[in-house]
Amino acid sequence: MTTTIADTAPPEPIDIAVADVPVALRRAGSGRTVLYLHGAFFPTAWTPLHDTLAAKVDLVAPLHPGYAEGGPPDWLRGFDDLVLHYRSLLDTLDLTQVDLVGYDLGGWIGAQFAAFYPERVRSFTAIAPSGLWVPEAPMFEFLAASPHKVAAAIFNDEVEGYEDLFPTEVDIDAFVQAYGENGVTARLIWECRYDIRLERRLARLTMPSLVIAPREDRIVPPVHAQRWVEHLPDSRLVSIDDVGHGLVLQAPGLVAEAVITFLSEVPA
Amino acid sequence: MSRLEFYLFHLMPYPFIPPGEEMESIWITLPNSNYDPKVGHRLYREYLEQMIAAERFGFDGILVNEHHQTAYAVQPAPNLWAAYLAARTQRIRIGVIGNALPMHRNPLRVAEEIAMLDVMSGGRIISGHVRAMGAEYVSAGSDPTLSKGRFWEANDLIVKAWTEPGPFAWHGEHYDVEYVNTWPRPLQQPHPPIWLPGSTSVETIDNAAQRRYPFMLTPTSNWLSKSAFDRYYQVAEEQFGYTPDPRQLGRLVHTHVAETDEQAHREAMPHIMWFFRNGLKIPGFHMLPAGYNTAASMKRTLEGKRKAGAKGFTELSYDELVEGGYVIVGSPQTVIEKYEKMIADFGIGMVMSAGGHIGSMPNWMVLKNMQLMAEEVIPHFRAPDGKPCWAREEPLAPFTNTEHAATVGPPAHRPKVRMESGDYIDTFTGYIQEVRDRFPSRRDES
Repeated sequence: MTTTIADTAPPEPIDIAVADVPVALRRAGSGRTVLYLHGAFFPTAWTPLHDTLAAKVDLVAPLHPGYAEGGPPDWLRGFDDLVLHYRSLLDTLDLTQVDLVGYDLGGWIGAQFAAFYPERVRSFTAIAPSGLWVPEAPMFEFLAASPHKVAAAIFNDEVEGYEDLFPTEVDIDAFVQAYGENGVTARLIWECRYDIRLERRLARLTMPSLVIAPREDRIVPPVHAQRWVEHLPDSRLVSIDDVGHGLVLQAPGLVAEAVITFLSEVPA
Repeated sequence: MSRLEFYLFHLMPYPFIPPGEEMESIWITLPNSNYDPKVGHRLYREYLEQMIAAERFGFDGILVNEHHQTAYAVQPAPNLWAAYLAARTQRIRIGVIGNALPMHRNPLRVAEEIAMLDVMSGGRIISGHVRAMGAEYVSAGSDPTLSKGRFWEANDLIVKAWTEPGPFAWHGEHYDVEYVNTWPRPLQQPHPPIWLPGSTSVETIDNAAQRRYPFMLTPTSNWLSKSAFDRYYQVAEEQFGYTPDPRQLGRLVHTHVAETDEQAHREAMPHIMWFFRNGLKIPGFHMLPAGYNTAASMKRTLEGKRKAGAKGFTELSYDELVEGGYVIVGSPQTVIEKYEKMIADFGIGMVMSAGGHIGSMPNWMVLKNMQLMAEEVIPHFRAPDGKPCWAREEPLAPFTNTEHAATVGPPAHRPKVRMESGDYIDTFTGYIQEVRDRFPSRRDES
């Protein structure tokens, strides 16, 4: 957990054991608990979004299994393993119910969790989520693509200041760290970059829901966010202008404001 | 006397593409609009004739392999080539090096096809098994993160399918097959030789040494070749208590021979440079995509590369390629001396791509290279009679019906069929009434 984009120092990671799985998580703030699930990109970054949220809520931000270990654990074969893992994590932390916020792949994981354990999810927020099957507008392929192209696609070409998030082989340690993180993502989505069952499952997410997405997203095309809102029973869409899929870094204030406003309408 | 077996190796590239600098990659994304099937037809014809010619030239074997969606090697289905070559040759060994086992949903398809080839070729097949490069996983969309486990399980399943009586059940981590009962069974017993082609990955070398599978090293420098072959010997001797036969170790090192050193360099240089600059133009994110290796193994690879000061293939100059030992080019005497040194330094007993095609080399030059290799170099590493390995072995199956009748004898079962009358007839003679009358079958006979 080395990458830091925030101005303030990130909280020290806490190592906990969830059943037999070691988990590194960061926790900051107080109030209602928000579980933040990171995405495929810059998973270890503590961002201004984290800081802004932590000023208002008790923010729990774990790393998904494998992202800190350089590759997927043997037992991780699919999203259902993560659903069970997060059920155990909430039990371990004694959290009966959380507000769930997931970015990118974290939105996909969060939706699966909320479909299986809706009673554990007070509200659901998906930020530029991936996972839906939209064959006419597929997700950008980033696991075997040039890091420069990936960066340009994430930030709609406004890459300046974010270069360190895409290390090359010149910095072996940083490169290998990112390679291992992508290896976990590969285990989850290499053979299918969407789940055709997800759309139908979204009907089970009857809790208040919010989708936040950039108006122009070159990683997950904007039509995905519209589909999420169509299929989430109690949801609305907040669109953010002038940013790309990297909106959590590019417009953390606007994203945080949307989340906080939404949470203020959901009884704790 | 130092001995070497010589294998003609072919990638069947399609060289009529833009130079390396103008491509993101020769793999995966190079548009196939660059491929003209009429040109491809001519190339395939020439390439196949080169491989067939290897038998009369006296090479020990011919090798094809599997790559996908690339101009580097236009041979996505190597078993098809092996079938063609088996039909067009009589005795020479044919190696498929190899089938990419984890790419198969059911690896028994490989067991079946290799067994088919082995039976129809008269027991001449070498079965190379590979995990496949990272790029192949991108092309196929198959999960690279499980590929090592799938590779070894597929290998073990194939070997068992060839060697254990079927049907038996296989319930593995990756493959669940209730009835493993492969028809045909291979002709070579206990099974066709298995080769493990690989780069300098210690995991491949260690596994090859443990299983006594011949290891074939893909092109690299003399320095890295030495460390790879030393490791095979060391692991075999220290961990598994045996001294490897030199024929367990092969090196793929493209060799071009001509009348003089100068002439050899003149001929080979442009085609060698095409191979290294264009043919090997593959970015890291295609070669080793996310999930293909663990972070730890990637770290070892990158640190090893940095420590060795190794340049990427596309960055090496022609002189560096020659001096580093990535290729061998010269007069027959020069080539003989370099091979002698290779045998002494590495303890190897096989050399691949020894004469033959590389990169964009035209047909006439390939045949010239092959003929000079066969007549001026190979005999030096052979017994006085000059025979290739296959010419000093009896074929595993009789070549003629007369030999078959004289040596194999009748099959275990006569083909019989039950008629409406309840009588069984022998289908080979049953159409002749007087024979049927003379040897009536009993009703209860089965």
